[in-house]
Amino acid sequence: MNSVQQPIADAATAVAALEAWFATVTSEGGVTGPATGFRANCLGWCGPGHDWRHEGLLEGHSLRYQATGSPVHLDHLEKTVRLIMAAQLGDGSFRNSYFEWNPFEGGMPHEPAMLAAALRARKILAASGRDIPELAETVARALDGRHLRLLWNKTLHTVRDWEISDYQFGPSISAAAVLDLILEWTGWQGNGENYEERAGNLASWLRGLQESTGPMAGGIHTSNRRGGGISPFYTSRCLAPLSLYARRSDCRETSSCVEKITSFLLRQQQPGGGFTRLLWNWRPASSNPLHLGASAAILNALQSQGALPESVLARHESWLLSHATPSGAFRNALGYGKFFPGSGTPDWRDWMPSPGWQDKIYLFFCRRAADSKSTFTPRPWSTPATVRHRAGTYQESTDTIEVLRGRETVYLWKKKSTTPLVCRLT
Amino acid sequence: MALGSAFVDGPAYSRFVAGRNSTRVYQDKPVPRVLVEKIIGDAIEAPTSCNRQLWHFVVVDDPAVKVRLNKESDAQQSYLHDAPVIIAIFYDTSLEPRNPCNTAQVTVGMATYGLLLAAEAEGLGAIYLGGIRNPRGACKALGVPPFWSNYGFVCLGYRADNPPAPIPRPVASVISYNRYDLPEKRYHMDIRPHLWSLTQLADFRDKLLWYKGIAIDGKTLHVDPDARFSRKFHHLAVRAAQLAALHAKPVLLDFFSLNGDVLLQLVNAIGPGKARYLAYDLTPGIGDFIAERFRRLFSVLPYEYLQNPEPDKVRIPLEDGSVHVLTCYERLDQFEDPVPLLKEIRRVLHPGGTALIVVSGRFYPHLYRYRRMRKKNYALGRNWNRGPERKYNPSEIEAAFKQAGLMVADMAGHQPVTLKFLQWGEQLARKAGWTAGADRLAAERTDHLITRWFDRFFSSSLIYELRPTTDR
Repeated sequence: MNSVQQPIADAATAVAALEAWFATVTSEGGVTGPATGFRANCLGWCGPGHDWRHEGLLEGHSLRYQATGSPVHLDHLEKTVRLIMAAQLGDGSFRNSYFEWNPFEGGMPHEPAMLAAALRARKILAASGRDIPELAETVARALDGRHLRLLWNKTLHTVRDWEISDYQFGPSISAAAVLDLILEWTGWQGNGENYEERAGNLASWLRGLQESTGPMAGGIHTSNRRGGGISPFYTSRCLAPLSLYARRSDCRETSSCVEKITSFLLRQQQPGGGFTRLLWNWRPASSNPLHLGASAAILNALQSQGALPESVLARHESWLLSHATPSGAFRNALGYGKFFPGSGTPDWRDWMPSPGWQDKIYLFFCRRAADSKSTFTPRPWSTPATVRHRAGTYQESTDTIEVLRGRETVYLWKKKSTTPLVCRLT
Repeated sequence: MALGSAFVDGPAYSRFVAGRNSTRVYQDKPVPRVLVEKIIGDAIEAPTSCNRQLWHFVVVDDPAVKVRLNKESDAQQSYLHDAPVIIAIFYDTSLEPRNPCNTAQVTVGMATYGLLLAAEAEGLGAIYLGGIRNPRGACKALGVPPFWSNYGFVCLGYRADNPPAPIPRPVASVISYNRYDLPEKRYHMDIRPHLWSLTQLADFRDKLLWYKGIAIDGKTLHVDPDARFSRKFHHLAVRAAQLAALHAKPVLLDFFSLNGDVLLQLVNAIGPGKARYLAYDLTPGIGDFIAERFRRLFSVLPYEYLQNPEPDKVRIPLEDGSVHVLTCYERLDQFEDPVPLLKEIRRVLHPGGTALIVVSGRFYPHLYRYRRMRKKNYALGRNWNRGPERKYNPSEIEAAFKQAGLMVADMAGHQPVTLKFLQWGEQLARKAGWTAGADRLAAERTDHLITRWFDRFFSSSLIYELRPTTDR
């Protein structure tokens, strides 16, 4: 086994590497793998999730199909959309859709985000004569039956995350994801007038959460509680739906909001690469842990607006490439469990690749080299890692991911399986 | 139950009052003001101390005012948002502030019951909402002068639920003739469910579902989200899936399933049809509730419901050694003596099977619980998760496991007391302006939520993994 070098030299190889890595974790039921999220990790259940991991994969394969014309990518799109449809429960929610809380159902914003991506994929499929009309039923059940009914907050005129009496709380990313879904859905069905009011409510809710002054101006608060800081990643998730809404409705207020978001995100670039994690009014910004996938998602959002010049993109690309691993995946994050970024031995969570973050990196590289014809063979590798305050090792092969604390195996997952063989980490 | 005509006899009245239930789920249909006025008009026919009639009712049907009312009164009940009409009840107590029999409060109580009965007679559903934390805030939200006291709200609307009627206590148990004849400590003793009989517990669990239940048709009930979005719940569901993966055709049993939360996550984690899922509880009502919930999600029910066959004894209707993974989420806390239950768990457990049992830890400073217990101001329904159920110290429960023929294969603690120290450290670091350190400690707190260090013995909940011993 070799230690970490820079095993991937360019975007085209990165696309091939990530496709090869995803192949090692994709089972019959879908893309498997542990999740390391902002708020919690889900290591004990690694089964096929139906969360935002599909976003980057579906859009990436769509770009790949458009650039190469290879039916392999169409097959991937069709299979994924059908898997999503099969995972739907009777109330419109989806099994295993909570990412870091998997296998819970009803994950927000994962479900609407995943469905919006599925609708975009359907467009490509339909144009290639492989339409999936049954998807309409799935989306209607989720959107009309769940998001706009069970989760609609009649008081605040936005969506909630849970079917509980949380009437004072309105998160921004869920509103953005549902707005995205509405726009994609009405774009397909041509029934925009039925959803005009709700879309307007959601756009207005997001505009209301935008910080208007100070160093955080343009950022969207994570919720109407406003106390938790502003996340550039969460803000970036509002960019595409608001931009599309502004174009469709010709709403000047929303256009101005989009411009402010873009300007805010551009200001959050870190000198070395990547983006700040959280900004606060009352204390310095937090950078740890800096998820590479989150930075890639911000880049994707800015790229979709054409807001990044090639020189800046190239800088971020080279920053991402410097964190590639021989398995084909990219390092998960920087600075887990650290007082200062880059200090000391990386934590095991910095290495553990999570499908819900890797897909965003995949999309970034697909945008850079959609016509990639490179090949990549995943290789086993290992690296020192801090594991619960002690020296340990992170190692990955094509079949397993293993974390050792000292010599003791504290985590062992056989790829594609639903549950790890050993799980002493939380 | 609307009668339409006057009560002509006693039995009709008895049927009417027995048929009245509190409504927690309402239709999206406005209630005409004239009807509200009629209901209030009927309610103020109630007797009033010295005929003072110092009551006042503020009818709220504006959603914006409801939001303000909820915020200021800190009511936090979904009915307050969902019910089309809220009637805030006020009484001017300035004339009788020191009445020894609290006649003002009694008068308000009589009028409130009058409101509920009148609503029922008009075919409406209603519920009295007294669980508000700040009644003064209600006055503030509605611009009521301070000499009025708020006595809660009545939520009113067309009903969209049909909960089972609670069984009233037998009349004989609430009557004494000429002299009080009940044991002195009866009520304080009785509020602790682990001292109840199994029949009492079964009845309570049956009703509790409609109190702590789940969302139905877009309307929400008062639910504490903590149970589901807690690491211990997640840990339990996920660990059960890991253990089930060790068996070719696993049989999973959720012991005392209640609302089916654990059961649903087991099905999510493993997949419908990939294991045999069994739910077990005490009453047919609980079975109906779980079935109703699962029917909303699955076209074919992915589990079998097992009902306790005997009213006075816990007996799982399964053969010996038939369960591979058994989950029991904070259910032993409801029993004074857990050994008979554990023996039953041991009996049905496969020789290679595992029981995952979560109990409340005795050595964690449950300050909230103790404070409420000392003040005796707990309410069973609302504070079920934080109420005065039994707590176990590790050696006590482990002795019970041993006695039942179960050995501890692993034990973890959830929410250890050390988290509090980390929290204090984080707060100090923030005050000192050491942001990076505070962030680091905050992250450590998240990582340390489930622990296997020494502090697991001082955790809010103890998570046990048990295997059957070879000798019984």
